[in-house]
Amino acid sequence: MNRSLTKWLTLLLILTFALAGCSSNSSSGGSAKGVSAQEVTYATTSKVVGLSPILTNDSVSSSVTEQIYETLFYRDSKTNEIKGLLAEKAENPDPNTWVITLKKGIEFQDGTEFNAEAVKYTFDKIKDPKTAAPRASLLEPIQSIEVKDPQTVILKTEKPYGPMLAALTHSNAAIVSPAADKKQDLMKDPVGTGPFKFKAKENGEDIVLEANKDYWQEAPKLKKVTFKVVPEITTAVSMLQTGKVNFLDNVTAELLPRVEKLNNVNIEKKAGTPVYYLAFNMEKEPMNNPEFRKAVAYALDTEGYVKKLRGLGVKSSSFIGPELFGYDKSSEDKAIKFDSAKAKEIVKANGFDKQQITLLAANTAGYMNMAEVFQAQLSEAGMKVKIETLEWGTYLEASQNGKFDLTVAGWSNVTGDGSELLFPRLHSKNAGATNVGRYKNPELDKLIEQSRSTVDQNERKQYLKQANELVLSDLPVIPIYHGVASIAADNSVNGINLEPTGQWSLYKAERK
Amino acid sequence: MSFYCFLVFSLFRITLEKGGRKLLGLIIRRMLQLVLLLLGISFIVFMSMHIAPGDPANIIGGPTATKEDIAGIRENLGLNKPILVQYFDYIKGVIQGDFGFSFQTKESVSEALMSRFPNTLNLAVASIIVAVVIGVTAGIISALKHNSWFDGAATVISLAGISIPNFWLGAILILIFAVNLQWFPVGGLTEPFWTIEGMKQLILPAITLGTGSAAMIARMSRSAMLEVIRADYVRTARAKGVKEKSVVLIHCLRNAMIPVITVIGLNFGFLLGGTIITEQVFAINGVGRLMIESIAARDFPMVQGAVLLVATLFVLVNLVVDLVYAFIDPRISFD
Amino acid sequence: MSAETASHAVTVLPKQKKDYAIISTAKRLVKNKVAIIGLFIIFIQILLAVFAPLFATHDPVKQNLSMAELGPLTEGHWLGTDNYGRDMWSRLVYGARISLFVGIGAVVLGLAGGITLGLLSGYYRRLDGIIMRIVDLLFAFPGILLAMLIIAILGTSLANVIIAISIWSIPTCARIVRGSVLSIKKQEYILAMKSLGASDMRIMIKHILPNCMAPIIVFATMRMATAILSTASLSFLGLGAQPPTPEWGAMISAGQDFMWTSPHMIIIPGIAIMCVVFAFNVVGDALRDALDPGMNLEN
Repeated sequence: MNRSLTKWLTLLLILTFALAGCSSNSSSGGSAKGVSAQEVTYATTSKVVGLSPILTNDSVSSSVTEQIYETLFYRDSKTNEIKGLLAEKAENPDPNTWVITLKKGIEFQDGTEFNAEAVKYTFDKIKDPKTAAPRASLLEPIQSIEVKDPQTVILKTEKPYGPMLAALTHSNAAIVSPAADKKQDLMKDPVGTGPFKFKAKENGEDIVLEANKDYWQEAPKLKKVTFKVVPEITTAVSMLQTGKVNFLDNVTAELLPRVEKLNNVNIEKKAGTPVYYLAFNMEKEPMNNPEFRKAVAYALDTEGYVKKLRGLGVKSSSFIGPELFGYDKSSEDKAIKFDSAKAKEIVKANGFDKQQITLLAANTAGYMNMAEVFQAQLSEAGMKVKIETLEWGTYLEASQNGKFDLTVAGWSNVTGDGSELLFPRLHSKNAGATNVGRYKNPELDKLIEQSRSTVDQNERKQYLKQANELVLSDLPVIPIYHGVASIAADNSVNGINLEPTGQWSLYKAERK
Repeated sequence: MSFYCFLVFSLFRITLEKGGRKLLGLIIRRMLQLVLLLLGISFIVFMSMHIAPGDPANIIGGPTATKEDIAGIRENLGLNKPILVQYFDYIKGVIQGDFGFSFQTKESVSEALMSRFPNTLNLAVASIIVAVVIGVTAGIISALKHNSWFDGAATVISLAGISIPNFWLGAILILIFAVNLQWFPVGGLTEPFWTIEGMKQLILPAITLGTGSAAMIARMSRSAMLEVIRADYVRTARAKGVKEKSVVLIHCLRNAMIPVITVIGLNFGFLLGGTIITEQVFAINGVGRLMIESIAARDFPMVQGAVLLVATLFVLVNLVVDLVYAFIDPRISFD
Repeated sequence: MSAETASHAVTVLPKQKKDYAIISTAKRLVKNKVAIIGLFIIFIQILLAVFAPLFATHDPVKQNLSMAELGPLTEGHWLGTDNYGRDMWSRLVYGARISLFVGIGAVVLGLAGGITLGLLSGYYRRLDGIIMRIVDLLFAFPGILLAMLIIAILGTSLANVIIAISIWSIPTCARIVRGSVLSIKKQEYILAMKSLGASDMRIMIKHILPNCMAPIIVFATMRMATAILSTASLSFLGLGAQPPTPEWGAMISAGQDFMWTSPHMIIIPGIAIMCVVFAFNVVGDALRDALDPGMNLEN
């Protein structure tokens, strides 16, 4: 019996090893380490949720979809002008009609022709309630999408919609291949018109892209791009140092000194569109008291905080930041400057030192840091402030349901348009959703609506300037700083195009 | 994967041949218990995820989504149905082998788990190997050189070993061995474990995770060895003139294995917990990390699936431990 | 003779025995040099925790952004400052208070739950099945995962960390107590008392419980170590104390980003945790040897 057992065991052993060998060979293909290979690996701290621009709304997923899909228009980061990408031009025969002419001869990566039908298909899908697209609101003002001819699509709105083209530059408004979307799940198997196409998912979560040789412009130089998930940013930096990863973005201020010391790494920074600010819950005492908000504004040493960011933040007192459409430098002087003596005085005079205030923050590093510093500064001014940190998901819910007194918030603003900051964040229509502070001011509402419903861009700028100054005097929010996009890349990687939104394109990138 | 399946399977096979019906009864009983246990666990996890604040639709929508956007996503995820209906739908699916789809990534839960599970299992097994090798060696030497300086030092070091926070140890190991000395890669588990590259990737995380268990095993195998050394039959063997080495190896080791196996069984839950942190620090794409991410994203189906997998594993490991007992020590019965 | 006096007469014996046991246990404990070190560390921690305001040189939450990330042995801050310019030594001292508080809180809560379940399940055969299934269920959850679920429901705070960690010591404790109860229950003096009409409650608390104290004490000491370590792990995952609480695990977690530039921020709290956890482990270990002379093979 013993002998038969041994035989049986050996047989099984051989069999399993053979099986194990087969099953895992598939995933261990390219580990060639030649520097000359046109391959780059990017490290992200959270996983890629999915690869459909319609169904995702997180920055990590967009960093991948940016390479695969393209939008009709894009914002030139040098001139801040909106230019055509898949579209040739846009015309307004009347303020409610947008006639968009598309470029000719563009094909999706699956060979489907890019035309007006594809645009209509994509936009209809985003707007369809059954799709449950997270950014359906982006195209909400559009009433109908008509195909005039294969090269022309007509968008009709009920009211004039000024930021229309800005909305169309948003990465969630990128055009997908209708044929592919009907056939497969774009979350796993994406097809766009972009310079890179999806190749494989490795190790269950790393996304691998390869060059799209038939790209409608000159083909990209990189042959392969890997998006690798590395949850701890310190580990990611170590990987960058040892060459296992070639670049990463959103370097934190805490890690910047370490990254700067690395000989093999270059850091690129670009003043960006995100704004970080302190929001008041306007439905609660004493936050609805203008004196209290003033006291907080005097108490916050935002300048001191921005210094701690080591160049990864821009100090500006304007809510509409310097990189946004609608910024006006003259508004800077309208804001309250740090003055701790004045803060103490107001706090004392109004008895603000008696009430316990909760400062709510999401438990991600950036927000926690802000909360920690401002809690200390407000305590210094004599207020009683307690920090409450929540996981991201719980934070979103708590902030939208108004379960806070103060909260540190941010808005990344991918469209780069001031209306797209003021409307979601401060318009009364969005109170209790994106307008977490539940600020309701008919005067501001009107200015925001005018900035949206005017098609003349110069006129829009005027409305935005007025709206911004109203915000600075009424203080439903206190701007703290404006984000700086950053990329830390190995010396051998060149030509990554970093945009003010923090997104980047690898189209022109190459390795030396 | 198939390697482990083979190990477990052949173990069952061997024990069955040895123990016969009684063992079969034990296995069947345990399996029935497992089903009940899983039902209980799934219910608790399901309810607690629904009670917990934080709305999955809100997370998918992100801060930029409007109320209408979020309502649409909720409806789409089927979250508007009564909780019990959702639970029974889920259980119905599970019985048919369908663990549902991730809310967040829309991938199939069973596929997602299966793609990550081998990484976690390799990490856990590697750390057990590290723990057993270090622990048993230290334990045996301490017992043989009882009351020597080595014994004292080993005791202190092993107690210190249990006391190190493993995320701290991991960070420091990366700093020294991966970044400064560059002996091992910083993180990731991408190559198969039998290749040199794969082993190199496993070493630092395995040490990080295995230190605590190594210390525990060292302590237990030391006392077990001491007991055995004094036992009569070892004295007899010595008196009969059997060489010291073979006395230690044959008689003692076999008996000292039992506490070691106990520790492995007891520690397995602890180890799986430890993988959560180790995977996080070393960027290993395993079930533990999937679990943290899914809890944070309120990805209910994914959390459910992962918890059920871990619980099943825990019960199976304990069953295997019991079977191994029988294999090593024929005196143990299964009543 | 009334039942009262009878039970007294019976209990006197084991009680006296116990007094001797305490003395001899203490004697054995003192012989163990490593345990002395452990006791010493615990003593220092308690001292720091109780008199934290006396030992701290600064306000542990007071920031000074212009004095951030100073190394140890800097003028005025002998252990340096953290990334907000807070004094590391003062934070460490107040952190001792928090870690002791969390440890004791979690262990006491866990013991209360575990002892109750263990007593009930060992004493009443009818409850045994269901309680042990609950215990199995708790066992099959990895501790950290259970804690994460509990914190997800209750929210992030130190109090909830205590609850989460305490739940995770219930199953082991329940099993230990149940085992002791099962063996004690059959002993003659318990049976005698039962026949004399002593209530179940009284028998459990006055007679059975004191006799399972030895393993419980050992377990509790070791659990202090685990509780402190687990709190640190949860803080590392961002699920622990709320800032600016100077919790050691949170200090490590925050210091991680500065590991290359200001390593003292991660090393100092790391060593503090290690020392304290080590101390509880050593003492627990020595207690086990001392309480159970049969296991003690020294000499």
